[in-house]
Amino acid sequence: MNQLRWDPTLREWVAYATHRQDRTFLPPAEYCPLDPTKPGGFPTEVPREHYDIVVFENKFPSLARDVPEPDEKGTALTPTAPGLGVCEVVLYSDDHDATLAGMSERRIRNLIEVWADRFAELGAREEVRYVFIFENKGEAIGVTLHHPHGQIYAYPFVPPRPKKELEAAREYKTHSGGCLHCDLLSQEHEDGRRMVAKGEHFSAFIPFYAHFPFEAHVYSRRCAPSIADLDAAERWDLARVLKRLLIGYDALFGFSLPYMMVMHQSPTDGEDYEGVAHFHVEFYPPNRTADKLKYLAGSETGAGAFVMDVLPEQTAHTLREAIESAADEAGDAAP
Amino acid sequence: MSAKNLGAAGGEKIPRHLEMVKEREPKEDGRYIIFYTCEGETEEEVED
Repeated sequence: MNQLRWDPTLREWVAYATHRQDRTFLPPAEYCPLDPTKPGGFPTEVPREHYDIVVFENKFPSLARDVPEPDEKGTALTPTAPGLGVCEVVLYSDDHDATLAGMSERRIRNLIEVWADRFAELGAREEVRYVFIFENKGEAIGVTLHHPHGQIYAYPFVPPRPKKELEAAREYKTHSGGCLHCDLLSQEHEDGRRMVAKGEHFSAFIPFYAHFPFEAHVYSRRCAPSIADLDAAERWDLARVLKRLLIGYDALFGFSLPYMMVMHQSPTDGEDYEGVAHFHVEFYPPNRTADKLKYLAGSETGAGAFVMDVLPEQTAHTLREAIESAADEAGDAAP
Repeated sequence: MSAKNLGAAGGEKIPRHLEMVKEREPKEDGRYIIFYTCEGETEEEVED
């Protein structure tokens, strides 16, 4: 059952997918459904002995193709709609124990090619208004499978957070004539205190207004609307900067850091987002220390107002040192 | 093609900077699976 219910108080859709209650939850490594299928072994999601990068439709999708009109009709005030869309799983590698941070720049670059291809293919579907590429990593985030993978939700609407960001960017463009994200990036470059990694075409920084202690944003220097608009050099550089940031994250506390990684980019609803949508990646690690998490509690969840106990300038300094130390160990020159 | 805004991608084949093979197969339950394989390059052959 996939249905959407409209919340008129927040003016947003909520997706209901009751079959997800029964999804696979932290199986033993030898029964991982995302591993390749070994001869004589149990059949996994991938019917091959080896693979490079694989994408498949989620067995327990939050949104699905060809869903019927919901039985629950709702009212004029609280309408319902079919939970139309596509939910995909992206397997980064056939190595069960790998992480994105541990992968080569080349593999990350190949993954960027796959993400770009999925953006183009899913975004071309008539019902899809927004292609949301993301990764939940670590049990602290609630992952149910440890195999290195991300997900893609192709929504039939522009989801609230990107929508709010795009509305702010459009209003900024109307008043200033410029791109909000380009100007934020210029400000971060000029200030420098929150910058953590720089490439030729991408920069990573902890934003002035970070909502998580080690939240990092990776911005394209050029105002590219989507991942599919990046050229070859930009894709390579994104891979380099992502790798640098990720090894720094893992060096922060001496363990593989949990995080949510999300990509914000142009909707695919036919509207013009030139100078409004600016492709970027956002990371939200939940840790504020090695053993303490930032919880979304009363103020954050009930009021939507984040309260932070550490300044972005401090965490950026710590993360920058972790990145440099990890890069030194890997024998990598700072970009 | 619809008037959907897909930037440079245009909803068609993305410009490929790599020679990646894309194989799409149906699964038994009606879902699809896509194998992306980078041709001619392996992790071992290239040093980052």
